[in-house]
Amino acid sequence: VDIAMDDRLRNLVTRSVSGDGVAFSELVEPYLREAWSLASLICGHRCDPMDPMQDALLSAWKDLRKLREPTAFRAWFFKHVSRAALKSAKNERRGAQVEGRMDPGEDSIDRQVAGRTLLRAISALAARDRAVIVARYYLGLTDKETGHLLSIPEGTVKSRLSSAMQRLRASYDAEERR
Amino acid sequence: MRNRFEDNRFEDMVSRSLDNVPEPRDSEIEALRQFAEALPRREAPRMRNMTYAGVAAILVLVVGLTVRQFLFFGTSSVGGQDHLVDTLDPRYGRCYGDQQTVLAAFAMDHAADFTTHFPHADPLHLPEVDQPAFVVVFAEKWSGGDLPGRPVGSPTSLAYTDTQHDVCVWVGSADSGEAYLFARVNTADFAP
Repeated sequence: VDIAMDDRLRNLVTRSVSGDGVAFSELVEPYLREAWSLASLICGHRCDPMDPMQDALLSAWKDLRKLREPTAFRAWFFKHVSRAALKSAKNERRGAQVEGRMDPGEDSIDRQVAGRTLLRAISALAARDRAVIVARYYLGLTDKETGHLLSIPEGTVKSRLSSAMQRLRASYDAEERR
Repeated sequence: MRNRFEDNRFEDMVSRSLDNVPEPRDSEIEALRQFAEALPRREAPRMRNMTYAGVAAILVLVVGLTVRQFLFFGTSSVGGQDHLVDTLDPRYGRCYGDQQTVLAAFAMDHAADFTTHFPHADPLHLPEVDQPAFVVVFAEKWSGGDLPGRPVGSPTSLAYTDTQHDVCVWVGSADSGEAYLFARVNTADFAP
């Protein structure tokens, strides 16, 4: 199955590079939702994720020839999304605040409220702090993968994540006290 | 509050919170999918068309210049060097370029530039040296009988060397200028 998936990816990348829009659409479609959420988390409440998403799709399209390993498309594409989202965060335009949805499932109301508070605290962080937190706790990336995603050294990932989490705790506490 | 969240619990909570991040609406995903699908049409074809158009334009330009070069311009040699013969300029005919073989024919911004092009030629007596001018260098001695225009100097019966040529200089515009013919002009190191 993996081999078949790899072959499909290679085929889609090859066709996309040759100018096949349908192939490019098929190539990115499985990752759009996750990428949208990634963009939303990184660019925070001040931007509309659709903007960085379109920027990311455009830059990915333009750079597709540079993709050495088609099977690594997901990580490569998310790198474009992260970069575009960080750029959008700097622009600080419009958009709704990131709010967690109220899930009537297994979580208690308290936990849901706490989760929403935490999301607000994440939104209040600097974009680069959000990015490293999202890479670790949303995408579940390792330090090495996070470094690749954000184009920073692995050691910087560790230190940045540590300081970002400290700031998040402080921000969360501040939100809780409000 | 910090007591309620030990490090690992806080990290778990961060993960769970991020799992609850709002997802895009279906319409937004569809819009992005369509955006992705349209990119090659919007970007690549345009780039390809531009490339094709650019190549076509360059080809037309090259072909045009080549045709112009071969049809209307020629190259000839004076002093072992090839020189441009601009037959398109109306002053070419005014200066009798079409009456016998021409080695070089070119425009000068000013008639006074003659000595720049013919560094070993004797100074010419040209009026209106600030006027634009056109030079025709004949390959052979002028054979048109009496020199038309305002001849300066006169061909002799002596054989010309390889660096001696009769030269016509048209001074002024094509409509209102005047031709000056010079015999045995030293064309050594001549450069249009």
